[in-house]
Amino acid sequence: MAAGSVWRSLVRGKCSGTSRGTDSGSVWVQMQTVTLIPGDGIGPEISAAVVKIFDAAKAPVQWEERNVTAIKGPGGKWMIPADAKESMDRSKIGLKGPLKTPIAAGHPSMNLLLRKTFDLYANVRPCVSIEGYRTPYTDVDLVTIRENTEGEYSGIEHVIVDGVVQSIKLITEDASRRIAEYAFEYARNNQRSSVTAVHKANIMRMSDGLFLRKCREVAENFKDVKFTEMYLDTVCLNMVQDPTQFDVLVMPNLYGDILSDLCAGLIGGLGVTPSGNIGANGVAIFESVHGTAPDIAGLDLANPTALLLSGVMMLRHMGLHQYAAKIQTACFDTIKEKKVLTKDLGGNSKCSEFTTEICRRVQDLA
Amino acid sequence: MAAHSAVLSVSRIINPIWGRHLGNTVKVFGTTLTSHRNKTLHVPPPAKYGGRHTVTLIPGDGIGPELLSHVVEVFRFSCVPVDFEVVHVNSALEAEDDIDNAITAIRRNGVALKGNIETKHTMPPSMKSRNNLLRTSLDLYANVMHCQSLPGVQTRHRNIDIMIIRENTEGEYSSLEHESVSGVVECLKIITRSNSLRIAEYAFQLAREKGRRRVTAVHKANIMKLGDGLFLQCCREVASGYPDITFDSMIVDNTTMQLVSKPQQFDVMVMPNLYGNVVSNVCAGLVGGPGLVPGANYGRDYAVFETATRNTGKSVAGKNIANPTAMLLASCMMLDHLKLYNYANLIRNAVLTTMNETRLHTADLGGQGTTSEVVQSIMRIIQSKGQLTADI
Repeated sequence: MAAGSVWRSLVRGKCSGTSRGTDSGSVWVQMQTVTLIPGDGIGPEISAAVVKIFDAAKAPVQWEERNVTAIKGPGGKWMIPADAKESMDRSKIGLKGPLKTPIAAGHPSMNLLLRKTFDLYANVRPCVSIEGYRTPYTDVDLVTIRENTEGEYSGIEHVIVDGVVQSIKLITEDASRRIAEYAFEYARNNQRSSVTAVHKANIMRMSDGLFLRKCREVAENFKDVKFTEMYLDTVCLNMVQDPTQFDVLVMPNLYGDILSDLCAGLIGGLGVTPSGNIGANGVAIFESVHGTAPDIAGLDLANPTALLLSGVMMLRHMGLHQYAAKIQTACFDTIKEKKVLTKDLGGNSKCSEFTTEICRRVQDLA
Repeated sequence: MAAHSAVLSVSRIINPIWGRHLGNTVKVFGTTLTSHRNKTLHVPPPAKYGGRHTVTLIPGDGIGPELLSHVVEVFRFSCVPVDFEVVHVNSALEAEDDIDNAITAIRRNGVALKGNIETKHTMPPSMKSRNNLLRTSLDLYANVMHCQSLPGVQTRHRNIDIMIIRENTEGEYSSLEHESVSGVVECLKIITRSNSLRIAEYAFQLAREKGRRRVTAVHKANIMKLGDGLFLQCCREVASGYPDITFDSMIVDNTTMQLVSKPQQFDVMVMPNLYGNVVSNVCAGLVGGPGLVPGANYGRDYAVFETATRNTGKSVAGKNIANPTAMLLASCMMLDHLKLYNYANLIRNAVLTTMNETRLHTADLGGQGTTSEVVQSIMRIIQSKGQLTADI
């Protein structure tokens, strides 16, 4: 009998990871490794909360915790620790909490370092209105895809003469094509109906014109997705009046920065907004975009929603849609109920209580 | 700068052809030199003859012509002593003669009222945006927009009262682009100390004049350390000369987030060109849309008035559904500039009464009224005030 059950579990173990609805532990699904970067400030506590919730949902995720404080490598160049890089390259998926921006540490921002190390070229932010967390805007459901490597943030600036400064905005064909392709693929894979390119080609004829041309070319290969173009100012104007008219937005770096934060503001701020960074070579790092909140660190007051929703985005990226749906529903239901909410959501519960409530709901949904 | 004009005049004596070439080289270096060249010219007297002002009118494209015709109609009806010199600009032509004529007309009259001129971005990059060309040639360095919640308009946020002052000539709109390698395009954003000081000075002066308490500078100096850093530094310098006004700064992405959640916290905002474009459109959207807010472009010697969000409105052109409020309020701002305050208040009150009390709204505000109905209502209110009016 024992041999038989061992034989059965061995056979099941050889099957590729399929998720069944009722997960009573009888089906063995393939565990996927994810590099977890807790971060600073409230980072460790919200990461612990997310791990706990994933555990309760029995998501097939194996966490590998790593620290990414910059170290000086050979040759004097700042880089992330070797074990962190090795873990990311192996697992290809990361979940990151907020990182402290060093002021006088002598090295560039950690986010910039991560972006350069893994060539994270696309920043994706789905903005969906959260039922139960009321803002003046309801029914928001859009995704901003922002080119993350070039554009206005190239960091190339010169003082030409005393009192005259020039900043260079760089737009390249390759980066524009890459981001456009990602946007259309994302739209196709997530059943989104249209992609809108945001630009200012009436003023920046050559640079945004190049970006727009590449988007148009890529659109030719994705006839099932509707492609439109809109000026940045028109998008801003219409976004604050009627955000329901937008679906997927793709744009260069600066416009993306402004618009993604605008959309985050529409749904309630950075405390509830998920974000994902897609890199070359299949690497993807999902993160919460709020700050480290050092004033409430360690006091069990933090809101793990942003990191949790980023984790949900991560599960979808990994193809584990059922687990993603379960956790998301549990989270939204908890917020909708309004009984157990952290302070920034309008309640006065602790982070641990909020987490426990979501875990309970997740287990009920199983 | 005296040296520059000396060089130019000497070169013109030596060889007239070379003089012209040198002039073109000077233009390439940016607007600061052009404006310095203008400083040596004397300020022209106002175009007021026989008690009547002459104002340049540029219809533009889209809804521009119809809205401006309504303005002319209301002015004629109210017997406003303003005559319009109409200058057409064809946006489809590559030659710059049209826009040069318009610029000359504005130089002659000093004041203009314009609709937006369309920029087809399928044209080659050498054909610059006509609107931008107008602003930089006349050195209209300050774009001023006042966003106020109107009681008669339903919006998600109430009690908004923000003045936005946007640098109008440099920054990202310098139109200096080149393709260094095939497939790699560089676009230059220029920030100068003199223009930043000038706009900051303008903002603080305006804030003091209007009794405002706080000026916020919007920037992205954490990323563009030199460029926006210079802008911020200039604002701080000017702020130190106005101790009665509070000065703070905010990063542009945080600003947009705050604007959609708590716009009431802002008072006066000053910023470079591109962020001004974003923030002014967000604010216009918050108070009810592009049909409501007028905008003004001020230079040292000239002033051009238009709608704040500068839309061509092609989709609503010719259908008699466009909202005339923004253009009419812009014309009132123009009358204030010409010191015809009584006429300005008369028309402005009539427009606001139609908006807030009669509640006759066009389609963009969710109403059923046509443009002509709204204009008729405004003229009726003007007539009821007992002033001298022409026949309808």
